[in-house]
Amino acid sequence: MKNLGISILAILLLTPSLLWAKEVIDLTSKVEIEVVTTNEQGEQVTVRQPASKVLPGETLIYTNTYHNVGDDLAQNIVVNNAVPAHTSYIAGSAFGDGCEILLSADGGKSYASEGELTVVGDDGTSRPALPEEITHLRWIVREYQKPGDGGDVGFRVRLQ
Amino acid sequence: MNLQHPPPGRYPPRPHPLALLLLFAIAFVLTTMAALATGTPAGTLISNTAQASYSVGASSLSKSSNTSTFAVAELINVNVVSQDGGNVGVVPGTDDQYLTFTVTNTGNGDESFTLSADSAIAGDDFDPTLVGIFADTNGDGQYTPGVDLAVPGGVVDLAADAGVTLFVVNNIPSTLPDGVTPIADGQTGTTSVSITSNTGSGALGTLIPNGGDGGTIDAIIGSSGGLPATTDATYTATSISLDVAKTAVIVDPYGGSTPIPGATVTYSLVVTVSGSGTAVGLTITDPIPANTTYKPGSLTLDGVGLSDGAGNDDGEATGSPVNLITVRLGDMTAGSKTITFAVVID
Repeated sequence: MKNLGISILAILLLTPSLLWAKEVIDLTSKVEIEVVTTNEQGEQVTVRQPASKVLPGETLIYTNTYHNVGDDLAQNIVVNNAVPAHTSYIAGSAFGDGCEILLSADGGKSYASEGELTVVGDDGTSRPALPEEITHLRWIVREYQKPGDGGDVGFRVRLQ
Repeated sequence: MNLQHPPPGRYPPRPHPLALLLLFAIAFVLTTMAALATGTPAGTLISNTAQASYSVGASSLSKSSNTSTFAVAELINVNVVSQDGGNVGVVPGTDDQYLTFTVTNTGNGDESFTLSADSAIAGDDFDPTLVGIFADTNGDGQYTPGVDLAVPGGVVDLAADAGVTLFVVNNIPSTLPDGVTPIADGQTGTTSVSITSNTGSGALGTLIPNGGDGGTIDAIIGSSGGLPATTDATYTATSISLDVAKTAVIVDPYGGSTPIPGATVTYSLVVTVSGSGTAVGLTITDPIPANTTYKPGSLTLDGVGLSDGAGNDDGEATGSPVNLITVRLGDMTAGSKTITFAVVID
């Protein structure tokens, strides 16, 4: 027992960065709807509002904002988001500047870029995944993020 | 001799209560109701949380976002569809003539609707007298007085996707609104059926704050024309009559026409439909008279032989010994058809 305790202490002492690295990335998620309204100039404009009074068939916009709020460089940032239950991904709607965007149709086990993603149909042959089969989205942020840096990634869905 | 009504469920028989030989019918189109997927139930919470992973130096870190959540609002939408496939033929002066509607909740929440009917509307020839709105209590798709019960207050409660068949029942007057002029063939009387949601009414998109299931979510009018919505259905006066004349010709074994044992009796049934409209699903049956024996192979329709066996053509002689002949004439408009068969006197 004494030896085991010493071993654990040794491992902890050898991995100081794991213990002491401070979180630097803040991640916020919001869901909005688009509403057509008339502005002060009498023009019809589309504005985004927080999602409310949402009915089946309507479109929702999910936006995740990552932001380096720390003092250290953040690298290898990957944002993952499951398509919410009762919603269907809208083809081509994933966005994220400076990101490689990947989709999954198997619950997040495998990913491919949109248009490359395939699923195996009931007959055993491979075919392109349908938008409503998308289960997860992934954004791989290409650049490191200095303190103060950040960006938006997101996608649109239709409420079933 | 019997005039058989069509089998239940296939056509809606609406017999004239006063005259056996007076029939009317109208083509009945069974409109199948599309299976509707009305979407995510009202009140469902839609939540989302994103995750980020990243590294700082040699350390791997992760972060979960806040969880965004909203509740699905309630869509109030209803379809009222006439199931009559066109105007309903009625004989003036007959009671309990019904219009068939289906009411389907095409919204995403539990909803209570109120129906009302107005038979005294402008633009038609005669005014049916509204009896009421009735449920298809026994589920046979036909209104049966005393069996199918009135819908109290016209209120129907339907879960999302659920539908119900309702009958709007009228008595048909024999005269136009002047009370004197008889209703003529082809004249029409319309009933307007109105439906609204007991949650609220208004134009498409009208918001009913906290009107949804449980009172905590908003409800929104989703019917394209708003609520209340109206649907019309129309009766057309028709006077179709059916007459069957039966005659017999006797030939005895000795070349005479005496009804003695061994004599052959050939019966002719002349079926005549007159008036406007179509007699639907007409079937003629006639029992073989007592003390006679059916002459095998003698059944004919308009001079063409019908086999005695069942199922291979429109007629048969059934029983052992044969005790009934049946001929299915199908749908008949004005005109006549002749059925013959022969028996031998025992």
